[in-house]
Amino acid sequence: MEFDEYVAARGQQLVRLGYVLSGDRYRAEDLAQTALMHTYQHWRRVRRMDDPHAYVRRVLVNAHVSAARRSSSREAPLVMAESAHSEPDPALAVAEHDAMWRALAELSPRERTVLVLRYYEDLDHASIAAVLGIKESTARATVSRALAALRAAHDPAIVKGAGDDHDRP
Amino acid sequence: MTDLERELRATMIEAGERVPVVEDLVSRAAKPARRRRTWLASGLAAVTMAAVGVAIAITAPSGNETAGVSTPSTSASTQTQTGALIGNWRPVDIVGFDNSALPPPGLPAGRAPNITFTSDGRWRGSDGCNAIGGTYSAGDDGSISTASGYQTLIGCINVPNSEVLERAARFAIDGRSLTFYAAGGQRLGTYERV
Repeated sequence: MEFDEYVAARGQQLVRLGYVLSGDRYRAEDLAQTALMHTYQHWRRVRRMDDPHAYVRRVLVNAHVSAARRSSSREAPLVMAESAHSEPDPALAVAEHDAMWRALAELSPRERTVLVLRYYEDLDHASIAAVLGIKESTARATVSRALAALRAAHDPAIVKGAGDDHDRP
Repeated sequence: MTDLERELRATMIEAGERVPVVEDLVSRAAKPARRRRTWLASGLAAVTMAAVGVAIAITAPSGNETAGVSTPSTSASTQTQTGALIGNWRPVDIVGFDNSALPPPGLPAGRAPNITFTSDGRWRGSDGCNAIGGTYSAGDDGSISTASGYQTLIGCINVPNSEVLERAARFAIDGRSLTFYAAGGQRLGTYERV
């Protein structure tokens, strides 16, 4: 597979992932570009991997996590001001989803990332751990904690007193 | 899977589908990399020399291009080397870069290519259109090492501030002038205090 064939097949998927992670379409393009630039430079090695896309996804996700970590400690407005609310969402008319999207924006980058990997990318805990370079038990705990935080952000009234992520909303 | 999880998944899928299609991902990924490779290739000799150049660099970090730039030494002024690094600098002469593309001084700080070192061990700046930044460690003996962290990437002619810092092993300050050197002693770029 050539690099441009890979990008044609998977490039937009990376942009989508960047958007779901960051909530900002321009940031999404930057993340996809970052991951693809890195991939292009190492393409001869990447193309021989069992799952090249998993590698590129890992690069993208970690670029997002480290950027979010840095920006939150130093220049939060740079990223966050552009995120979520800067782009009107005319297509998202369903109020339920809009509320969920806003709740997602209230999570920490780490929490949001594990939820995206678990429910958008459909990765199991072991795969999430591999992407983020953490223990599987840590990934599991972070997903659980992130779900609880999401539930609280999504509907604070319902979640009062509930700490178990198996509780239904 | 709970209702919450199902709704979360649906929300994220729907959000992802809203993102406009980006048509030029191949060129955006390949062009900056090619430019960077070219720049690195021009410095290949310097990298090759680095292995044997460290000892030389310590005693004589200045190469042929260092006329007029004082080099770090054990003089009384060395105590101020690290402290003098703190602040905002603009590139005036980057080796391997078309310096005629550098904007004149006086541009608004937000857009002009620059590097700022802060006392908490971080550096940040701009390559002219992208925010760049990272951490650094500098010694009063003129040694420096940096790590790049946050960098937004927008396709444009980038002033290679990050690359200069990535390769910098030593720095020297002379008045308002700051020059970085590779481990082999080659000059990488000169900046002027803003």
